Amino acid sequence: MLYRKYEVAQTLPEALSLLSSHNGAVVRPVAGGTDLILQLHERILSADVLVDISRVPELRGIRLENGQLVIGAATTYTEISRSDLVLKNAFVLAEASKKIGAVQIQNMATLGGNIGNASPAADAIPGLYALQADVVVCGPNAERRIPITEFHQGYRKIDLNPGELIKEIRFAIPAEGTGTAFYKYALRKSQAISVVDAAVCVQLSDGVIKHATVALGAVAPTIIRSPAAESVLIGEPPSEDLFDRAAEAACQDARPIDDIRGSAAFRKYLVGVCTSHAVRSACERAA
Amino acid sequence: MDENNLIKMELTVNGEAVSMIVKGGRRLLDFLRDDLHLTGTKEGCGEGECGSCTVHLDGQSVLACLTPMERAIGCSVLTIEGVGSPTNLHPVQAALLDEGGVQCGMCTPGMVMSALDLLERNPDPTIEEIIEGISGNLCRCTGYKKIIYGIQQAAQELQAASPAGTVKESVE
Amino acid sequence: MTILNETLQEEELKIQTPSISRKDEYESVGKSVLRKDSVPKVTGKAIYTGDLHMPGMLFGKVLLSTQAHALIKSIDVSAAAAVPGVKAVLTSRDIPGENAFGIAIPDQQVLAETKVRYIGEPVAIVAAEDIFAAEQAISQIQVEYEPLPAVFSPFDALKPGAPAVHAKGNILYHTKVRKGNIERGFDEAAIIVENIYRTSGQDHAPIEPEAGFAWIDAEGVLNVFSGTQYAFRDRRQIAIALNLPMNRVRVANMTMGGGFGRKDDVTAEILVALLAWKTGRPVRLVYSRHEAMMSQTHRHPTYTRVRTGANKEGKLTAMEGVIYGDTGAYASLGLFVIKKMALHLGGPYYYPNYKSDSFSVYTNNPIFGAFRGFGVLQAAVSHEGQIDELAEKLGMDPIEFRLRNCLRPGLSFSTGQLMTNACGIATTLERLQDYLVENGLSIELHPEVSA
Ligand SMILES: Cc1cc2nc3c(=O)[nH]c(=O)nc-3n(C[C@H](O)[C@H](O)[C@H](O)COP(=O)(O)OP(=O)(O)OC[C@H]3O[C@@H](n4cnc5c(N)ncnc54)[C@H](O)[C@@H]3O)c2cc1C
Ligand code: FES
Ligand code: FES
Repeated sequence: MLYRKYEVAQTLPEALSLLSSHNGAVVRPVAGGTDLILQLHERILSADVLVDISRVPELRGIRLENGQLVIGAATTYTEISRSDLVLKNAFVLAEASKKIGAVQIQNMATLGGNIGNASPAADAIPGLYALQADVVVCGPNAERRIPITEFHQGYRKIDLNPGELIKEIRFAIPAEGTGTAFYKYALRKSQAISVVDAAVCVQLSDGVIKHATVALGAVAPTIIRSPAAESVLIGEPPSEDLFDRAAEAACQDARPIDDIRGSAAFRKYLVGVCTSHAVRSACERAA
Repeated sequence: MDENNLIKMELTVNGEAVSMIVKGGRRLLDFLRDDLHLTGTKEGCGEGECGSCTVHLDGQSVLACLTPMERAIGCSVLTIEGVGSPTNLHPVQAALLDEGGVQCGMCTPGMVMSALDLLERNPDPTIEEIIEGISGNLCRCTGYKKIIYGIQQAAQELQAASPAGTVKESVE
Repeated sequence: MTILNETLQEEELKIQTPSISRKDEYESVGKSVLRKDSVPKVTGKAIYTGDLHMPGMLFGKVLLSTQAHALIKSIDVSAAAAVPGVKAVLTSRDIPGENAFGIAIPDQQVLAETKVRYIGEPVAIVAAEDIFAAEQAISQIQVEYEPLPAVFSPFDALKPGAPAVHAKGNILYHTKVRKGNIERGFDEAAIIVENIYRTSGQDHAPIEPEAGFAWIDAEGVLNVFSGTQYAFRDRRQIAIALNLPMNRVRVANMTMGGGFGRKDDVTAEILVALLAWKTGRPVRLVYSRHEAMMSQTHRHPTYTRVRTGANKEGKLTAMEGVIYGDTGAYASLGLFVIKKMALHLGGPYYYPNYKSDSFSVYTNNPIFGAFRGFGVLQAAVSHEGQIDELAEKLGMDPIEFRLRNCLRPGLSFSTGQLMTNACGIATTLERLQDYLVENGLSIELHPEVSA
């Protein structure tokens, strides 16, 4: 057995109560299962009870609310990449969603699962950093709203208490003239974990970059922002030279390690490649 | 909590109602293969990489090796056994044979399920779109080309058979 | 071992091409024919080993070594045997016959007895009523290892005083190929290039991981079903390990989900046979992808130093090479693969003078065995590199240079074997030349690396 009991939650209150109603048992929420079932199967994790949150209406779907885009935690990548709201307002997330696993994984896996699994190579999270998104967490008694940069506290460490669920992601709709982009370098086009990736938001105004966020994946214990690259970009008109300088600056903020997918030196090099590609695309889309 | 963890699996598989009491806590792949003996769905890796366990769950392609079996309760599952029979092949199956896209056959059921998923969403895919559509399925024998041509041929045949123009969906 | 000491005067030899009657129309040659088994495959009806089931069937599972090189001090199976649903927990002590097998030489243990030689070597096996009980039992087996120093490259394995992977020493096989007079060959050369080439290991990764199914029929015959490339050799090895007469063992080849050479070796067959024999029940043993990658054979990593000479006219005069092939913990087909590499190190080209030595070396890496190409692939990396570099240094077109030197009927291979009619390299190169011309393409030896 991978687990002993499977409970399907129909509503958010039910999900929360199921999560805390099994005294002494290891209870885990399961959304797409693409991380969790694998970890159970390989005995990396164990669980007594799984609470299926994939059909909880409060956790699903994409909507606009007071100038904010809200994406339910249990929304799948397929849904995200096909959403007009996302394509129009947060292209970076659609672009990243299409680069995660392959079709079947995109049909199953969720944004909340990516955040919950908290891998430093998680592909949906850099976009959320670049969009300066907040994570909304709900527990039996209260809801909390945390900037994503604070939610991920360290290597695979998140600000989530037992019994709590990630409810949704929220971010302000980027201003007029904003372009976003995600660029992933992996050993294959599909079904491959990022060696390095970058997500970028830039806002152009009168031909000059007014606002920029640059996020990097797989180069530190968590996803990181690159303040150095951002300050290079702000106030400048887009140019190849600028993209190169932003790339160089991003390399300074990256703290990559050697692992099976690439050496630290190769990753440093890739930070530049990914950053300049992503910045260029974002500028093109902003124009 | 039932110590034997017996559960009632009530669902539709390949168009037929299934209701049986079985051990829970396993993967949809185990239920299909070990309980229903639908062994056309293969396990090539058990970790989501190879796509040989691809089935459709409520009309979407998913990996049976990463799907908890209980998730399928109340759902409709389509496996390779429900796609076509030796005497009545689905055009995708016939085209794969025609193009020589079947060698050892271990990847084939999953490829067919992915191809069906693709063609339902996108009846007239480009080669690039076909490649993307089967990029979650590994084949160690064919080198993919013949599979890709097979799917292309099937798409053309299916298009010719259903003249009603279908809207092409584009994501990027 | 092939030693040819005199130069053959190939040009003078007349080759008689056997006459073959040719038809204009063949039943299948030149046609696309439907594979006999493809309709069942495309409909999911083809039965592979892992698809088999029988009433009363047990599930098998293997405990793999976690040590690269270690003595086994003890194995405690009591907790494993006590897991509910477990019907057998077997170690080397339970093998009725010889605890030895191997496709070329029987240097492999069915279950490790006193020492393990690689991470992934089978140490114990379990049969249980369901796979979860089998898994749990495996996790309960206590093996006490005493780690030994290990070697992970052929160079370390050949150092004086290196840890001995096998008692007989770390060289499995040394192949020598000698043709002509190598010193004279290099004296005649106007240009000589020398390089070191290294190729890496590779997993076959057939989409079907290795599996076996065994049961005893009403006549007491042990039936073993598996996707195997060589049922009869498996049968012989099962009979020896189980101490059964050959006519008590029947091996049937199931639909095979890809082999690529790896399923030439015994994979799950003896282990599953043991479990069925001991329990009297049908047993199915299917490796996970992870287990298959750990315990089954792979492509040999190789290290080659090669020197090749050509004269001003662009004719090859000599080739000399030394090959070190990492064959891992056991022989498998490692002697033949690395032997073949010595023979093919020069590729499909004619060298009047040829000298190669290859060493197939034991290490504590996983086992390396047969894989499509069988050593010839690794050789190609070096001979094509050499040929390109020579052509460049001679200022010749690389295809022209190859055409000038390729084997043709009447010329001899490194072993002295004369080429007869089946020697298509020249035709292939000419077709390639035509193709390049037709498509306005040219060969760039050092293309710029583009993003
Ligand atoms: C073959 C394959 C390829 C992959 N490729 C990629 C890739 O390219 N890029 C990438 O980033 N990832 C990849 N992944 C990893 C995985 O698909 C993603 O991390 C995915 O987003 C996980 O979502 P899920 O819904 O399947 O998560 P689950 O497995 O359901 O959950 C993951 C974890 O988060 C917890 N969790 C889930 N939802 C919530 C919630 N709402 N609140 C609190 N906790 C929650 C679960 O308890 C679990 O611990 C791949 C995985 C596989 C198997
Ligand atoms: S077995 Fe499910 S993806 Fe390989
Ligand atoms: S046909 Fe063998 S893996 Fe695809």
